[in-house]
Amino acid sequence: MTKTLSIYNNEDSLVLGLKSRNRAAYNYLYDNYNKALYGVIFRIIGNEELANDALQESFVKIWKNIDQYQESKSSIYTWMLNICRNTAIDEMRSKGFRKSLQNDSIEDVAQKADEVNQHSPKTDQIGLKDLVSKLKSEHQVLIDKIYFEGYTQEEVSAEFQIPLGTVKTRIRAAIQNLRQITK
Amino acid sequence: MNIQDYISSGIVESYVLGLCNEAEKQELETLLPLYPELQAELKDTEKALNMYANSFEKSPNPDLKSKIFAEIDSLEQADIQQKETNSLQIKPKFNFAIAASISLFVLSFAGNIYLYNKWNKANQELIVLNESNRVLAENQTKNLVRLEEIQTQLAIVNDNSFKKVDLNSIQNKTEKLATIYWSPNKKEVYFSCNKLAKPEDGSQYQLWAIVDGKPVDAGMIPLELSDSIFIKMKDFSSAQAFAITLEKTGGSENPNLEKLQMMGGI
Repeated sequence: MTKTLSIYNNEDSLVLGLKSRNRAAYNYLYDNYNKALYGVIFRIIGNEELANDALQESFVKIWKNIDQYQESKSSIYTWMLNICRNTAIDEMRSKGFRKSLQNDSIEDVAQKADEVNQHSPKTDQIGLKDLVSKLKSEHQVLIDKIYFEGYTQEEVSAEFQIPLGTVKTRIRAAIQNLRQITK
Repeated sequence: MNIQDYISSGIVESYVLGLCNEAEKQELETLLPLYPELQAELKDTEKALNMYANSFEKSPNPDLKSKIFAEIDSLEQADIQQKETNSLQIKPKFNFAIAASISLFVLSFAGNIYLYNKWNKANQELIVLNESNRVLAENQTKNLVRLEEIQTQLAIVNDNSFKKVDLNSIQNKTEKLATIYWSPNKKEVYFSCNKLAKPEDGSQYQLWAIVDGKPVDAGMIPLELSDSIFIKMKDFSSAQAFAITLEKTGGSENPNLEKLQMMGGI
C-alpha cells in the first residue's frame, strides 16, 4: 500500500474524520484501502462481480457503523477487515458454498493454497508468495480456514481432530509463526 | 491475575480472529486498559494478520468508488430525516416526567392548604391537627426529595448522552452487581447499586475510572446504600472502563488489584 500525503495518514485524525462523516476522510479511506479490502473479499468469494458487490456492501457498513468502532479495542484497519471478512463469509454461506469447502480434506486445501501461490498475478499479489511460502503449510491452512472461511473453534476442532480445549493454543502457535515471518 | 498465563492461553489471537464468545470478549476488553503487555500483544497480533491480509491485494472495478459514494449520499439524506423524527419522539417522555412531578407536587401542596384552613376553623382541634399537619409536611418534604431523586434518575435514563456500563462480578462474570451511568459530554458519573455485599469493618468500596490505561480515583461508595438511589461520583470526560475495588475506609491513592470486585468496559 502506498499512502498519499494527507492529514489522514495519522490514524487518530482518520478516525475523527470518519466519525464526523467527513467526505474527504472516506475518500482517503477508499483510495488507500480498496485494494487490501477487495483482496481479502476476493480471496473469500473468488468471483469478481460478487466480490465488487461485497466490497460496496462492506464500505457502506463501515460508513453506517463507524460510531460503534472503538479505538481502544482494535485498529481501524482491523475493524474494517473484519467487516469485509464477515460480509464476504456471510455471502458465501447464504449461497451454500460453505458446505462444499468444508468437505475438502486438509490436503486439498493445502494444494489449493499452493496453486494460488503459483498462479498469483504478478502485480497485485507480489508479496503473497514470499509471505505464504515462509509460513508452515499446516499453519497457513489453519489461519485460512478461520480467516477466510469463518471457521469457529468447534469447527476447527472437528476438522483438524484436535480437542476443543487446545484449539486456542494451536491457533496461537500458527499466529506466532506468522508474526515471526512478518517482523 | 497472571497476565502472562492469560496471554499464552491464546485468547488474544482468538479475540482478533473473532472466535471469542461474548464473556471472553468482555473480559479481554476490560483487562486491556489495565495491562500494557496485553495491549502490546493485541497490537502485534493484529499487525501480523493485517500484513497477511495485505499480501492478497487486488484492484476492484474502477467504477466501484462512484457507486459506493452514490449509495452513501442517499443514505446520508435518509439519516438526516431519521434524526429529525427521533428528536420529536424523545420530547413526550420528558414532558410526561415534568407533568407527573408537577401534579404530584400540586396534590401534596393542596393537602397542606386544606389542613391549614381546617386548623384555622377548629381551634379546639388545634393540638391534634397541629400534629397531623407536622407529619404531613414531613412526608411532603420526604416525597419531594424522593420525587427529585426519581426525576434525576429518569432524566439520566432518558438522556441519550448517558452510557450505561454494567459492572459485573469478577468471581461470577454473569452477575451484575452495579451499574454506572456516564455522560462523556456532561462529564457526569452516577453509581447505581444492584447487589453489593456489605464490606467488612474498616473497608469501603472505591470506584475507579480507567483513563488512557490508568486507573483514576472516581470516588468512594457510601457505606450505607439504598439500592434505588443514584450516587453522583467524580466527573470524567473520558474513560475506557470502570472498576470497583475494596479499599480501606476513606479510600486509597492507587487501587488494590487483588481486591478487584467488579468491572465493566464501555
